[in-house]
Amino acid sequence: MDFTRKDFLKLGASLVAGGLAPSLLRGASPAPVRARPGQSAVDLVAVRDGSPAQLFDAGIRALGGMGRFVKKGQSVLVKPNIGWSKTPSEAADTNPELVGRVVAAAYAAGAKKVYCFDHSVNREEDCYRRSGIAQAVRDSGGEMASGEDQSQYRPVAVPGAQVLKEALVHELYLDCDVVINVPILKSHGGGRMTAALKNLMGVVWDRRFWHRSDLQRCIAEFPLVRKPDLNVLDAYLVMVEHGPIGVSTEDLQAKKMQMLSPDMVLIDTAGAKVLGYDPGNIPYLKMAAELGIGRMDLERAAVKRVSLKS
Amino acid sequence: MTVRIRLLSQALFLAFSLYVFFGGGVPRPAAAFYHALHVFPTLSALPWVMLPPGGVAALAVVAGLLLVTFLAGRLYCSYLCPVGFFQDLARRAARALGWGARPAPARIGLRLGVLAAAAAFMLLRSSAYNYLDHFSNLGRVYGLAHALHVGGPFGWDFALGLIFLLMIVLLPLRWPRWFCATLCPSGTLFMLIRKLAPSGIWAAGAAPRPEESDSGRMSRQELLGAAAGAVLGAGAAAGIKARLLKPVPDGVIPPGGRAREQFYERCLACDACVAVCPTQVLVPAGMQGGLAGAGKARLDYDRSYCAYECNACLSVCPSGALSYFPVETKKLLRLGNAVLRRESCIPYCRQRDCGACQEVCPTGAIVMEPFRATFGPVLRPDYCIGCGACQFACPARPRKAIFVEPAPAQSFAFTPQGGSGRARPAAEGFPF
Repeated sequence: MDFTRKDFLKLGASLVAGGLAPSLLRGASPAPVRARPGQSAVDLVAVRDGSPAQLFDAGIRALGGMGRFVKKGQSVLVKPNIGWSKTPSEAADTNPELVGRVVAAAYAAGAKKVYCFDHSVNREEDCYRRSGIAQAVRDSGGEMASGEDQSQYRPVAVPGAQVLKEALVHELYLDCDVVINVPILKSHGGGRMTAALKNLMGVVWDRRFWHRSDLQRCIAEFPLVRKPDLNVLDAYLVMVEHGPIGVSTEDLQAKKMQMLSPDMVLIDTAGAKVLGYDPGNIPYLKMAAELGIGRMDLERAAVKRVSLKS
Repeated sequence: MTVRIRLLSQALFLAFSLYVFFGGGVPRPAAAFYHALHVFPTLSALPWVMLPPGGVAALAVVAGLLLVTFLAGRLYCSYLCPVGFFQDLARRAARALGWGARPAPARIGLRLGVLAAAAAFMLLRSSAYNYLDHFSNLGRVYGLAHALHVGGPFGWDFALGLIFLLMIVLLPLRWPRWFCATLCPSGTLFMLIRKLAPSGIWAAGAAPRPEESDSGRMSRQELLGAAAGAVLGAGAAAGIKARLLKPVPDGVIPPGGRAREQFYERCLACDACVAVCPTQVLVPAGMQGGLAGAGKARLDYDRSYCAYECNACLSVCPSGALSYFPVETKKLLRLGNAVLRRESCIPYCRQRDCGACQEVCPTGAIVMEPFRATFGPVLRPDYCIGCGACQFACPARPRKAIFVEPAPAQSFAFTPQGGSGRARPAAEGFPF
């Protein structure tokens, strides 16, 4: 089982490296691709000029609806960035309005139960409260779970990893039927940027190992455990400097954007561009693409751009 | 009926004291009122002729307390004091088991000696009276529960707390209110005040044990014993202060502690700040700071860090050892200075991205600058507040690459500056 999976990943990596991936991964038929039931021809949706909730509503519609990702009776994990004891206007944590909306949409699509947590860097209670996310999740009927209880983490092997061969992973990330990753886009001193890939550091117990061993490599390798089914990248208020915690609101730029994609590498490539970076300069993006986690060729991907400006 | 009212009152005040001790969000006036009911911490600011904020109000509460004692007896001891309550409960349990009681022996010399020692420590600007007074010792008893809850440390103050707990639970099984009638300096002070009151004044004797034994004039022998005890106690305190209580530099003292010497002089080691610290970075020190620093709170940055948006410890400090600052001011309070050891730092010695320290720095005192193919941390000392977030986060082994050196005196850092003025990406439209 492991072996075949590894082989598949190697195949995927070589295809990406060979530049063949886009056409093959989307199937043999050339564009325009007709959406099959439960599928979408769109690789990435980018929405701008609305409130975080409006952006999400328009974005998920353009991506084929939440029903594409969440089926009736499924358990869902919504994983925002709640790492910091900061308020929404400081944009260190995912916008709470957006998180609440994602939880509500999962329920509307028939989810049995929607959980939300982060292994916060600051004290969990402060982060959950001051970010406004705990309130927003509860208002939408979701359940806040704790990320600071080590007994809820299980050791798992990371198939095909060179550095992060094993990790203690939160049981909700492993056990929920559906994982929706809802990061916020920020500059990042250690990772260079944080978005979908970096956000998954919040479902593991021992982050120091990542920093100590090879941060870029660990970020790239972790999704080999499991990839989120959907990524929603909050780029409404973007910390373009001094990330990930920020010094003051001077570090922020109001972009009023949001990206949605099942492909975390693709969405991070778009995020890098929003930050004004060359995606090729973010080491973990290249590594993740080579591991077959996703694709970096944004220019060849089917991107749907939506503006809500009236 | 009187007994029931008394028990109810004692129980309510016990709950109040627990709320003040463990309640991080306790309103400051409520905490200040509670602290003011304890003569020793409250009057400890007098030798500085500088009263803590609200100090005049605190003095008014003390004056009121002494006046009530003069007029009506030791109502504080009987109706409020949690230490008295614990002893009463123990005695009630013993009585239910049919165990007989004896009055605690009246050792007037010892009592006056303890009171004089406590007063002398206070006037000599030493907080060593905390080993004698009931407030600090009760704090250490509450601290036991906290230490058990968070898993230690089980050091010097834990041992003292345990001894005091045994004293107020075991001895009253035989001798009701043994601590009140033998050691408590506040109790002795109240007793003296009662003796000054003209006999027959209202309610004299209405308050129950141990006040009964306090009424009546002292014999010549008692007076001599009291005087000898007072001289010996004060002399011992002066000697201890001069010889044993030299501050030794060690560790980072809590925010609001100003300078090490001042902090040592005022801190009661009552553990109130330790119990409310949300990140549990505050721990009672062991003996590494000498006797003067033993049991007093220190920040352990290998265990946790000082939360940026928090001033819980300086909100609860009863003795003025920690000056109060609102959160916005405390955010600039510099407890120490971060020091970088490049030879242990992952980007500098292994050329790999890390940034664990920069990521958690709340003031922008650490920035990442290009270093070969990676980015390495660079300190901007003007902005460092010594909160220890970097030291706590640093993943380097076996030695951390960044640590906080304690500041001899606390000061204020520059106001953090966001934005660097570098060119920013265009805000309009998708860049892809």
